[in-house]
Amino acid sequence: MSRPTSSTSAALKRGAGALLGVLATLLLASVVSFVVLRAVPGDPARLIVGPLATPDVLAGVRTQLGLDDPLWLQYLHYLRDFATLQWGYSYSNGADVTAVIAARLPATLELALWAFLFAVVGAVVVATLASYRGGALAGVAKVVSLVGLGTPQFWVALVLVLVLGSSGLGVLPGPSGRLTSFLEPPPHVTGLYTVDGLLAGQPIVFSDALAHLALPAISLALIPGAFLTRLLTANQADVARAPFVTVVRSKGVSRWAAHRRHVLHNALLPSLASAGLVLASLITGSVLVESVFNWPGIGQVLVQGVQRQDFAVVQAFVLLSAVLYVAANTAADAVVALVDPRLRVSTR
Amino acid sequence: MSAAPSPALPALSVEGLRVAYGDVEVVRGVDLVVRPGEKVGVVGESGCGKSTVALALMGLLAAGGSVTGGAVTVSGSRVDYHDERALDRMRGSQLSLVFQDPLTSLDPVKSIGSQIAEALRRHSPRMSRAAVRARCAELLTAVGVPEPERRLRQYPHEFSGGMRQRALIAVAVANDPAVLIADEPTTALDVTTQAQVVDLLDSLVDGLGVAVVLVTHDIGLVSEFCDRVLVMYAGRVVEEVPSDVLFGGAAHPYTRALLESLPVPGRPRGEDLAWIPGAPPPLSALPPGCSFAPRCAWAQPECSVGTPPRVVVSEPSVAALRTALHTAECRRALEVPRG
Repeated sequence: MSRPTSSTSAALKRGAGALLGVLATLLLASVVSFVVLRAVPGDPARLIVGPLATPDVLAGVRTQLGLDDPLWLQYLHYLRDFATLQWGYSYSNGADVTAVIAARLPATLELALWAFLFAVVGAVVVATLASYRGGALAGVAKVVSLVGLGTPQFWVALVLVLVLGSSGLGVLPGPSGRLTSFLEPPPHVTGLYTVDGLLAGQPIVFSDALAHLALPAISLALIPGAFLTRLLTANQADVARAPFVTVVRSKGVSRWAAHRRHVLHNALLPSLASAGLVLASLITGSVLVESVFNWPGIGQVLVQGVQRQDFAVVQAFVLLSAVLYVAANTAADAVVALVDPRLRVSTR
Repeated sequence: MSAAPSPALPALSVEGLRVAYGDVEVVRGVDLVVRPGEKVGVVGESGCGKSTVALALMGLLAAGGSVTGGAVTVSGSRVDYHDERALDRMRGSQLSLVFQDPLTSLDPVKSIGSQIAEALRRHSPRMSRAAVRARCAELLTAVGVPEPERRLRQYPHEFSGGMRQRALIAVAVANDPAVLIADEPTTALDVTTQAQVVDLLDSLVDGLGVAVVLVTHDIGLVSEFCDRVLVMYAGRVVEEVPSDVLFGGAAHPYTRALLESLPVPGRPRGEDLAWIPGAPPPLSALPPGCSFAPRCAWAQPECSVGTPPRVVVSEPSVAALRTALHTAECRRALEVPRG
């Protein structure tokens, strides 16, 4: 048996295992979201036709929606429709759910990605300085991250708007959406205004979009940033005690260089998996911050959908969140497997 | 012994080294002179301060530890343990370290090659990539790792314990240091691998002329490998003895007790090993006088009063240097029967 084939087959095996796990998780999530929505009181057909419709009309809509079919058939249709992006009609928005989500997802994604960037960069900088310098700085970082973990996002959002927003110091725009009203959105490429602004060579759009993003992204980044700071600080403290750090120093490498190259590197690897979950939670968990900042993302659609019992929207959102979590988790695992030599398929 | 007496400067000279962790003094005045190419062993029980001496010489004491006294000279220049930049320049280029546990002494997420290269680049920043790679391969070959080109790209988990220790020795000798400090370099290895690593160290010393300070609890290993042995107890060197007279010529009761507690092949099975009653005293509460006195079979009342004198047990032959003196820090060194 030659080396390349054996290592390739091992890699394939591992990939297949991961794929099966992903499918199983998604199937489970779809069952849960299907059952929960069927179990809530209220008749979706009645909600659509209104309280005054005749029984004939009601029955017609029920048949049209497939609500007369046996449950297992309804579930299969539900799966097929989800996979083919036919997520039903949102009567509260008067449009297809797919269209509603497609129109609003980029705003949420952009917010989540910037919040993720802030959280990760902030956590790496604070945790590294705290564990390298120690002493009072470490104590302050610990207290701040503990407070950060326990502070409600919407409260931080409100404070930031009041202090820095247009009604306070006026440094940054308040809750006024994604762009100043007189600016045209950049030509659509990714749907992320900051990225599209740069691609189109419109620095004004980029900086305006970033200014609008800053406060909601910071509010959103606070809790995951505090979480990652704690995690990274603890990891670095563990690694810094490892004998190999002394060996690195014995080569004549300065304490800072040893910390940066070896301690930080080793501490980051086990945090990558958590970072994947943080990203997923940022995308799906921005509801409150979106409403404080009047941010045109999917969070607001979801809130409306729940209030008006618009099942199609809620159902799509639940399953979409599950897909996002699984995707983020799998991606994080894949990245860890790529960058951690101990997890790479051995070449020996 | 291997190194001919030379009038050259000692590779390493330590005078009255003192180390404290907080208020507790764990090394209480250690003297040590190592000539180029010489191999000196430092032995003692756990907690006697021998590993602390190794780390203190490197300037790499754990947090809370500090050198509180003494003078250390490497290749003729005095080491300033407060000048971190100068220490960084010295570490790895003049004084280098082979550490206890090869399994935890390598960064698990960096390739072996990059970890050897790190030592080279630190002290020769202008070396080209190709030169660094060639030198790394040369070093791995020198420490007996086959297929160096392939091995350099591998990671620590792909190396066995013995191979890792070889790689660490390659790191330590990368810049031709004057002194190599080996702190229990074989303790974590199995017996056959131990012998290989010791042979490797031996051949490197002869080839490079590097001086070695071997810190270990293994008095058998020290007597085979080293020219001279320093026996430490409670933070002090209690006996300094040429290793060819160690067995049968040790003068300090503690050294004798250590030798008697060695298992001897061929001894009848039922016979108990000799052991030293009691435990080393806590360094925070040392007994007055000789710190070994409470455990010593030869102790007399006056041993517990005042510091024991350093007694010259035997003068070396005229040609040898002063460093080959056999001395013991014991009031009764000349009365105790040699064992």
